[in-house]
Amino acid sequence: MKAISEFFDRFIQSKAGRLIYPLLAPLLFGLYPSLYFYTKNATMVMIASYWRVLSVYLLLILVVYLVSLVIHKFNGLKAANAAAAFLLFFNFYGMLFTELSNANLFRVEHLTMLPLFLFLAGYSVWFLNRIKAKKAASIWRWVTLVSAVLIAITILKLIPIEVKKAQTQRAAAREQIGTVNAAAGNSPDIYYLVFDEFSGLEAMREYFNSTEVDGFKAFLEGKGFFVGEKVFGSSNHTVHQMAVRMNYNEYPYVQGDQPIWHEALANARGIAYLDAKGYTTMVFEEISMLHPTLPKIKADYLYRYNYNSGEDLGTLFDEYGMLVADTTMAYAFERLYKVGNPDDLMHHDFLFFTKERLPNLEDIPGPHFVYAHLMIPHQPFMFDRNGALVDSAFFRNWNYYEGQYIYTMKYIEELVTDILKNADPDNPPVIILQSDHGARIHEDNKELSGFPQDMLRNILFALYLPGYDTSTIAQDENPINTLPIVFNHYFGDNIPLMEPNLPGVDND
Amino acid sequence: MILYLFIAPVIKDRVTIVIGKPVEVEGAQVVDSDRIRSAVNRLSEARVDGQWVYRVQGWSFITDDMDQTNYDIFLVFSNDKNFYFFETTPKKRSDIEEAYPEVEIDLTNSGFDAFIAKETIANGRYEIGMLYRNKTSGEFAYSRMDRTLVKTINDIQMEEAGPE
Repeated sequence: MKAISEFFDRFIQSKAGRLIYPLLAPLLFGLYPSLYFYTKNATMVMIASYWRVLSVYLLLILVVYLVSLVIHKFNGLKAANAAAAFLLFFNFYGMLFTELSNANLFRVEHLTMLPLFLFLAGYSVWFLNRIKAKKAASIWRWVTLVSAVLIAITILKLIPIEVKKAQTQRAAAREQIGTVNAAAGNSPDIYYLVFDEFSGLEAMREYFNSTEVDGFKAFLEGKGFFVGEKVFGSSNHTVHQMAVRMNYNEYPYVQGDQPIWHEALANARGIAYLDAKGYTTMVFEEISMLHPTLPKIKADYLYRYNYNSGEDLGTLFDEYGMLVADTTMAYAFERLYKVGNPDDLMHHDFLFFTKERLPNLEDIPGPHFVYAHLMIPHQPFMFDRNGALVDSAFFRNWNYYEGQYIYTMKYIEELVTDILKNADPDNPPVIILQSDHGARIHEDNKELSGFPQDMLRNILFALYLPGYDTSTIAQDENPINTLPIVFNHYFGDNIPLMEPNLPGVDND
Repeated sequence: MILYLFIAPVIKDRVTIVIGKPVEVEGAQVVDSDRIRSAVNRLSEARVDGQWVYRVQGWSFITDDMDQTNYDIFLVFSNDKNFYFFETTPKKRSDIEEAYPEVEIDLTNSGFDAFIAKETIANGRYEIGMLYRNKTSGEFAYSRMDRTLVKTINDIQMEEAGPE
């Protein structure tokens, strides 16, 4: 004990120690609000959400402290007090903004309030620089002590909640495993992933001069995918195309036949076939966003776009992340991390839920057949090329298609990487990446002109078929053959394959 | 600091507000008639040319003229003290045509958008209406709606109109 005490004394007296130990005050003081909000909502929030916010806070506090050290000429205690003062204004800006706004006493706007708060924070930093060393040490001790006590009390409250949460989750997982019949065989998992309105690579290269598609193609080929660049669907209608491919039956494309396609997709032959083979069938679909009359697709598990997962979305700005951000200075930039429209929000959350869920299906007995149909890069064009949110005013502006398309490629890369990483190397999955149709940038499009009209049906077509000689697949393969190719190879079927669809300008 | 809280927003408005200002409509007569059918559906924030404004979406048509393009159409907010006229831009509304099958007028473009900078409106409760001005004769037709606009210092909302 004495040795530890001596070690600490020596550390605090050392040059490095005098700079490091004062960090404790801004660290505890800065981290407390996010911990408080997490504890208050712990029954509804996944701890992964807290870890993400915590890591951002740690980085922020470190940066603020380092800047403060420079301002205070490497006086650790004064720098720590100033950093804590800045964090006080940072952490409570959003909360005060909301309260003042609701009070309706004067006009409250970010453009005027944020500069005021930054000024007050700067003034506090300057003021704290002027106080004497003894007083600075006293302030530091109080800030540290009060923050430490608050954090300790909060953690004590949190522990029983987390224990209970873990127990409930384990019990739920056991129950779910018990209710699903064990499937037979060593068949591979099959992922049929459809990205709505994802243009064929060639059109992106030619029209948008997008060089990113080559990187995307290289990524897929590097993983072992076959990539067909001259693949065309037989129509531009989502439900028609998916009914055709899921039933490997070319329904005539006749306006007014929508009910036939709806029925065909809802009772898909391909899904029923795999169900009979002992697969657990899972559908993650957003088609019903735009086709609300589509009946429920028959599968063991059906997740529709308005599904409230209650699971971790894997994003910093999930419900909890936004709750914390809304209390801080980040609130001034809420439009960058918030989706306002409830439908858009459900879509946003569903995309992240699906991305997290698909690679992690170990709680459900395999083999799995997963049909995921996501409305991306389809409207709303809510993501820019880096995945940041676009102003909602532009969600339906085709100028934002390219950015969302580039982000979709990243989304697919991450999803594929995670699926393959978590897969059994002795029994790798089949992965099908497709779009239903290409970018439907018609001649009368308001924002974009001159898009090649014979490329509207040019689609994404990439297949990961372990053990299959993909050199036998044509560059212009008909997408109706997708499931027959898989079934013929893996189950020894002999389903006849169809001739390619030809490119052309359509009237629909 | 108190001075800042009151002066800074005024300066900000002068510098930033370009879109969503009310317009002058000379000789406008705001007397309720039953010549216009209209409704406002939505008030939402939107960014237009880099400026955040409120977008009012709705529909309207004048019942006694087959050619709707004969009119300039304004969205009106009015109360005892103030009148505000905002220009509208026509929008396609196929649902209106379906909702009024008995009307023979072409209602394809009966929808409208109006952009409102909320800072340009004084606090208070306003009646919402549509004003039609005949481009040739200058004649006015006005009709009020069953919703009101409530503007406070920091907020703007539409509410169902209460009893008279």
